[in-house]
This record gives sequence, C-alpha cells and structure tokens, in this order.
Amino acid sequence: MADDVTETSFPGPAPPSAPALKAVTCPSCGGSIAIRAAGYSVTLVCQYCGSTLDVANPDVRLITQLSQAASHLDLPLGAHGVLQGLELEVLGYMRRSIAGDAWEEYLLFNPYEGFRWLVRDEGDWSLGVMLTTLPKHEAGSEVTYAGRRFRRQDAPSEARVDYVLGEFYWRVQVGEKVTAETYEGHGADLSCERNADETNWTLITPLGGDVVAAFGGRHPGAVAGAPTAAPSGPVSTSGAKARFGSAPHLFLVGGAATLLLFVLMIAFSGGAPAQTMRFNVTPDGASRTLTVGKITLPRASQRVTLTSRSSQFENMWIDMDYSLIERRTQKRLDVSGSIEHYSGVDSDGRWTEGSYENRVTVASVPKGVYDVVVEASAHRWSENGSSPSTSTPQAGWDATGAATNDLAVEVTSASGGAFLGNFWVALLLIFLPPGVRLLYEMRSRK
Amino acid sequence: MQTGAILYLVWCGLVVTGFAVASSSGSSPFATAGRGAMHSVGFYGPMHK
Amino acid sequence: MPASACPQCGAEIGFQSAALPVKVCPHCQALVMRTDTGLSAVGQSATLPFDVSPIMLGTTGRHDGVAFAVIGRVRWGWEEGSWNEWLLQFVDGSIGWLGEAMGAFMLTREVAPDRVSGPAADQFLRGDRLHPDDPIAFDGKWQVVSDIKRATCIASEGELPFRAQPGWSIDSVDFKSVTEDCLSAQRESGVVSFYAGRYVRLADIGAVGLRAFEGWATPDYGG
Repeated sequence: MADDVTETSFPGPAPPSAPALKAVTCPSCGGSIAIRAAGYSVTLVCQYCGSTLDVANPDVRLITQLSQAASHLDLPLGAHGVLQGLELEVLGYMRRSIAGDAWEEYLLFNPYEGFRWLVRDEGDWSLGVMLTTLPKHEAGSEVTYAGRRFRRQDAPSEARVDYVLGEFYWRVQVGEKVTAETYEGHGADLSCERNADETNWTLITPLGGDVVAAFGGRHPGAVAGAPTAAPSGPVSTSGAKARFGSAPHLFLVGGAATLLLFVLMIAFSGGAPAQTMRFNVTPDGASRTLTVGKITLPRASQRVTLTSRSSQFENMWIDMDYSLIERRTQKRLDVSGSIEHYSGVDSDGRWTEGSYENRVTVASVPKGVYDVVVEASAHRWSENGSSPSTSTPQAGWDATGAATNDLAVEVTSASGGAFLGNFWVALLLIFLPPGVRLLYEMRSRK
Repeated sequence: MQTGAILYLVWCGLVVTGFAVASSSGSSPFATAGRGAMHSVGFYGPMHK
Repeated sequence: MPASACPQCGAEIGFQSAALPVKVCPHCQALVMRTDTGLSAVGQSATLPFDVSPIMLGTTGRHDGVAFAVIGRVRWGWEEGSWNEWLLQFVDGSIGWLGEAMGAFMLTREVAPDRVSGPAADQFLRGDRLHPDDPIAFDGKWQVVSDIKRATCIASEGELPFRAQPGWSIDSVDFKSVTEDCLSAQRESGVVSFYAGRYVRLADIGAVGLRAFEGWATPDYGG
C-alpha cells in the first residue's frame, strides 16, 4: 500500500470554540433569531411574529406566516440556567392540554448532554428526560424501569398542542395530537406518548426551588404593561395529577356542601307540634292501650318519630306497639319498639345493658290527620346471675293511684326533623372523592 | 377551572339535592319503618278512647 | 503529483486508517478512493451544514475497554430532520459507528445477520415494511422497532468505509430494548446489514477532545 502516512488528526492544541448559535433572519417579519440547536432543530416558531419556519436545512423556509405580537415567557428563549447541576438553555416553549386542562413545557438543551423537558403544571415544576431504554411491562397497568415500579391510574388520553414558540427537533404544530399515558411511581412518573409513527417514554421527576429565578427569568406580575400574546403566568392547571383537582380545593368545596347540609337539616326540622301522653304499666300485668294524641301531618310526605321514656327499672322490658291511623282513609301504620334495661354481676363485676328510652322513626308518612295509638306491656326478666327485677318509684311523675311497682311511661309523637342516617351518608358521599384524592396524593408523594 | 373540580361540584350538588329531597319528604332507609308498613285498617276502625 | 495528493484539487490528503477505502478531501470535498493503483476521485460530497454536535473528527474515547478515535462522519437526512453517524476507528483495527440523534448516542458495530432473528428481521430481509414495536431478537434477546426512516446521504467528511455520495438513499430502522442494548438495520439495493450495540452517553465512553462552544463549559469526561 502506498500510504503509511501518519498524518495525525488527533489535535494538539485545543481548537478554538465554535459558535453555538446560528443567526438567521425570519423570512416573515425580518426579526433576527438564533438557532440554538442547529443540526437537531427542525422547526422554529419565530418569537416575534409567530410564523413557523423550517430550519432543517441551511436555508430557512417559511411554512406558516403569522403576525402575532411578541410574547413574554417566564423563561425567555435562549436563557441559560442550571438545574440539578446541569447547565441548560431554553430552546422552545409549548402549551399542551388534555380535554382543556392545560400545562406548559419548555424544551431545554445542552450540547453535550442533549435535551431535557421542563414541565410547569399548576405552578409545580418537574424535569423530564427521554428514555433510550424501554420500560418493561408487568401484569396489568404496571411497568418497571430502572428497578422502580410505575402504575397507570387513568386511561390513555389525547394531548393536544395549543401553542408553540421557539425551536424543536420535530415538526411540531398547533393542533398536533398524541395519545398520552402517565405511569405513576414513588417520586417520579413515566410519560408514554404515542402517535402513528413512534412511541416516546419520558421520566419526569418533580423539581423544587425557584426555577424561574434559576433561568434569570421574571415572575408573573413583575412585567408591567408588557404586550402578551401568551399569558405571563401559569396557565390554568393540569397534567394527569391535578386534572381532578387537588385535595385542598376539593375539601373546601366539600366543606361548603356540608354547611348546606346543616342548613337543610335546620330548614326541615319543623313539623307538627309534638304530643305527649303519660301512663303507667304493671310488669307482668295487663297491657295498656291508649291514644297518645292526634297528629296532623302537613307535608305530602314526612318523617315521624315516636319516643318513649320510662322510669328506671332493672331486668324488665316494655314492649311498645305504636300505630298511626289516618282518620279519613283509615290507613294504618304499625311499628314496634321496646324499652329494656338489664343488669347483673359476673366475674368482671357489675354490668348493665339497655336504656330507658326507645325511639322509632317512620319514613315518608303521607299527609293526613293521624291518631297515635300505643299498646304497652311490661315483663320481668330473670336468669341466673341477674339481679331480681326492680323498679324505682316514679318520683316527680304523676302517680295516678297505681301500685308502687308500676312503670311510668311517657310517649311523645312528633313529625319533621332529619334522619341522622341520611346525614352521615351524605357526608360520606361528599368527602369520598377528596378523601380518595388525598390518599392518592399522599401515596405518590413518597 | 379543572373539569375534575367541576365534576366534584356537580357531585356535591347532587348529594345535597338528594339530601334536601329526602329531608323534605322524610324518606330514609334508616327509619325503623316506612310507608310500606301502611295497610288498610279494614273493619277494625280507629281506636278511640 | 505526489501519491497522496487529491486527484481533483491536488491538495495533500493522507489516510489515517490502514484499510478504509474512501476519504473526503478536506479542501474540495471530493470523494477520493484508494486502490492498489493509487487514488481516484469517485464522487463529490456536499458541504456539511452547521451543527452543534459535540463530536468532531479527532474526538477520542473508550468503549468496553477499547480506545477509539473518530475519523469520519456521514450526515443523513430524512423527511423530518437529519442526524450524524460518526465513524470510529478502534485501536485493534476494527471500526464502529456512533449514531447521534436528539442528543442520544448509539454506539454500534456491524454484526453477522445470523445473530438476528424474529418477525421484524424476516420482514426486513424480505423487503417488507416494518412498524413501530415490531419485535426482533439479537443474540436471543428481544428488541422492538423504535423508528423507521428512509434516509438520504447529505454530506460527509473524513475517512469512510463506503462511497457516501450525497443523494444515496437507504432504509434505516432503529430498535430499542428494555436494557441499553440497541440495534440498527439498513437496507440498500437489496443488501441488508445489521449494527448492534448500546445507547451510551458521552460520560460512558470517556469522550475527550469534544468540540468547544462559545458560552458553554466543555465537560471533561476523560477518566
């Protein structure tokens, strides 16, 4: 072979720095713009006029001509900043949305380390890097990557590009759509974006600190009177995480709803005036039947409560059979309850069970005039280990010459009020979504 | 506003409305008895004293 | 005319490698081929467009313990952009490619087709179209199609194993796996070749002699 020339192209002294920018003139507005990732960038949206330029080739071609006002970005195009120890330059800015919920993305570049994505969603910043390795699909909607597990919570959704500014390495345009899925993990998420031609995975980790200041940018509100084609502050929300509202907001709405519940309970507490009747009943004696009173129910449908209270006793029970009989239609509603109280002594000491009150509630009683009839019968209860049944003389109550071991019973009928059960169910339903959201946020915050 | 927050508002509205309707008509599954316990008295008649 | 003169412009050109057949004249961009009978002009490269690639001719590094130097480059373009393929000369005389796109680097070497199998391999060999996520196996390990391009040579520089004439078109498919392993398949005029390797970062290959850019601190990856 003729050549064993050893011309070296291993440089001796370091070559001079190459320019990092390529200056071009916008064919539409004549503004001077710089291509910061020449050789990679394909599309550039002029920051002065909004026209879309093809910068893939040395000659810059105009694709779409626009004449928007110059826009202000919190992170200006070309700004340098250091994130996680890496110096990065702002190349481009995008606003994207899923079903109207929008967020912002900045494309950042370092000639030696490649591209990064800075995402701002509801004021929260995160840093994204595209993967060169594919995550591994596990069962269900889980993937693993770099030894960590990530799980998809929501169905894939369509992300649309709403606004573009600056330089990008693909032919980005407003209206462009990809199918996006987010896989959530501890302290990081994986975003998978697909279209007909490719699938891209990005690892996104939350960023703390003042990102805007790191790039020497201005915070929203600091620029007075600047003409804006794009809003200068965080755009209204989203990203998969905040799409359903953050927990504090939801709890606030839930609190307001609870307040309404209380108001409603008070509003519907009124009803027909209560009627009370007192009588005595003899344990193991004859049952007593009497009409407590007449109750007029005004509403088309309402709640009725029948409350019975008795004097004190032990180891007895009183069967209460209530009837509501409508005078005009002769319709009758029967409901039962009992007042019971037991006590005794066992190996753990003294025990008691029961109460001296019984309340029954009747739902949806139709309008009408009702007689409230009560049949009461008292019985003694005895068993090994229980004290003998006793009763306390009814101090303070009208004793109408009855035998001293009679039990005094007072029955009250009333209408209106709210069912406590309804209230608890409503409260549970109200706080279920924010509770779930909070659990979810706590889990993914680890 | 986020669609999720609006959905939640609607949900709360539904729950509160449901509660209001139930309260105004005194309906509940938690009652000791309901209107279903109502029946015709037949020839027993009201029991007056 | 000295034996090492460019047949087109007469400038002094020298080949660094022992066996690579083609060199782009640094002065007139003629594609010069060396044979037993001497040097002849076999084509014309175009001027390389300005780019901010950190790699340049003369950059050195190490891969799997073997040192290399960058001695050539081909710039390929397709509908949606373009990228560089840097030719690496290892100290053991072998060559490899450092493909650079979107800030990521694939370091691959040509491998025998019998190490490649699977549906995507069969389709590609037959000349059929491939689709994203089509599977292929290299040495028994699975990878899937990550992109498909019809690439056209734009320009080149340095020393090359083939005549990189601008306008020369090939079908190029890249594959990704659940590890850093990657594969690249090329088909041109019925001839199919496979290149297997890994995704690397400049720090992984201890890149030294990188291009310096105004306003950027040049990192030191040597180690």
